[in-house]
Amino acid sequence: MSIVKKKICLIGDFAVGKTSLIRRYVEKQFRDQYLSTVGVKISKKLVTLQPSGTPSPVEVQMMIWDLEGRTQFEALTSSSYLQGAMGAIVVGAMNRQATLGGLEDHIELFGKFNPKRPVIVALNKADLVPPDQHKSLRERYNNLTYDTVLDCQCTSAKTGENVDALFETLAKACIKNAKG
Amino acid sequence: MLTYGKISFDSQSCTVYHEDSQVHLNPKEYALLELFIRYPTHVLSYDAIIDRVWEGDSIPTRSCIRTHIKRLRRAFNAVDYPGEIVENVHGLGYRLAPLSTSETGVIRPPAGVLQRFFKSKAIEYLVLDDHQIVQYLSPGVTQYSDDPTEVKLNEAASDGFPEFVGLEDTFQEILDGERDSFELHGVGKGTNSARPDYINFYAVGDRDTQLANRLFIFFEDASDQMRSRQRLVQRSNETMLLLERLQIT
Repeated sequence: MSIVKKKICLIGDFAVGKTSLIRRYVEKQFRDQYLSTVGVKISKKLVTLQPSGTPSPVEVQMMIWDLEGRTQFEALTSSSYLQGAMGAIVVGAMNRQATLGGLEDHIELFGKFNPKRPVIVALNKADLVPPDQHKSLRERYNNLTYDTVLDCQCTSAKTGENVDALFETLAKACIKNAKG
Repeated sequence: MLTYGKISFDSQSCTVYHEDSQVHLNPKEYALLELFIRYPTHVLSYDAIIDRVWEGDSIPTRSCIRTHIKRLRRAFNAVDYPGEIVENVHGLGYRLAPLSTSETGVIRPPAGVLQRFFKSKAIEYLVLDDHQIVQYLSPGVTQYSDDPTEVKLNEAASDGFPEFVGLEDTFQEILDGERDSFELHGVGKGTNSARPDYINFYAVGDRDTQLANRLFIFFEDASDQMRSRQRLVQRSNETMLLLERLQIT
């Protein structure tokens, strides 16, 4: 079975948990201490997937780009980081409204450089918000009017809730997108 | 449009300019100049000149070619071109004269100076061919790789540099001359603990060599700059988070 390599990016405001989502997915670990990412850090994860409608499983080497969160500082050539990405996870923190308000900016920025590439919205830090609010928040961001946004999921890097599903849904979409 | 120093050569309108002055040439002199500009570093023998400029015509004598070269020189002298446009290489043929500094406007650093500069800045590089296969590795370039064992001659560069995955089209645009360069700053360390904490890389096409289509990728250590940025961003973000919490309460 040949290995296909796919670059995906995690983008969003600072301190929404992008690095923690990747650490949970790749290393199955969580650290409470906040350490801001600068520039970009690339992690790799090899997964075997069988997207619906494909005859056999596919081995995918996911190149996961953890991008510096949006801050008051000018980003280091952020468009260069996004170049060639096959998909993106746009992350906001459920407990910080300002970061959810910025989700559309991030979706539009990604779409500008990678039109037609799939995007999934992650509403992270679900463990810090009462469960009865999850459904309404998810519905709200599931209804964003972008053709490329496939899904919106409530996630928690701390508990692992929906983290594997988040990455694997995007990876499958990237494979289908590349074939289509 | 071909250019050589301050000479511009428009094959569509069949006009040649040196700076703002038109150089008046007859068709054979024009064809000779085009040949020399397309092969600026080559010594062209009489036979090579005849093959390319008199193709299909009756074969000229050497004296006839010398006459055309003289006329070509005279046409450039008339527009104050410094020195001679074409020089005689005794016993071999003719060559386009190297550009003088007044023609280029710049003094290019010699290869030895560049090498010493690269060494002082720990700049390393690799060279890819037009299929994006590694053709050359500078001695220390593997220290910038996420997986040094995967960096090999005649292999795909992305095997050792995960940051190249997804950039294949960008690199091809540079190789095809559709784009000048591409750069990426502040790429953090991956699995290779010996790699600098952060690197920058710059991909630049080779436009000077006529026979090869090559991409040079230069790497530099950006750790000091990025560590300073991290401290600054960390402090700022922590302050912003504190302010957000204060606003809520």
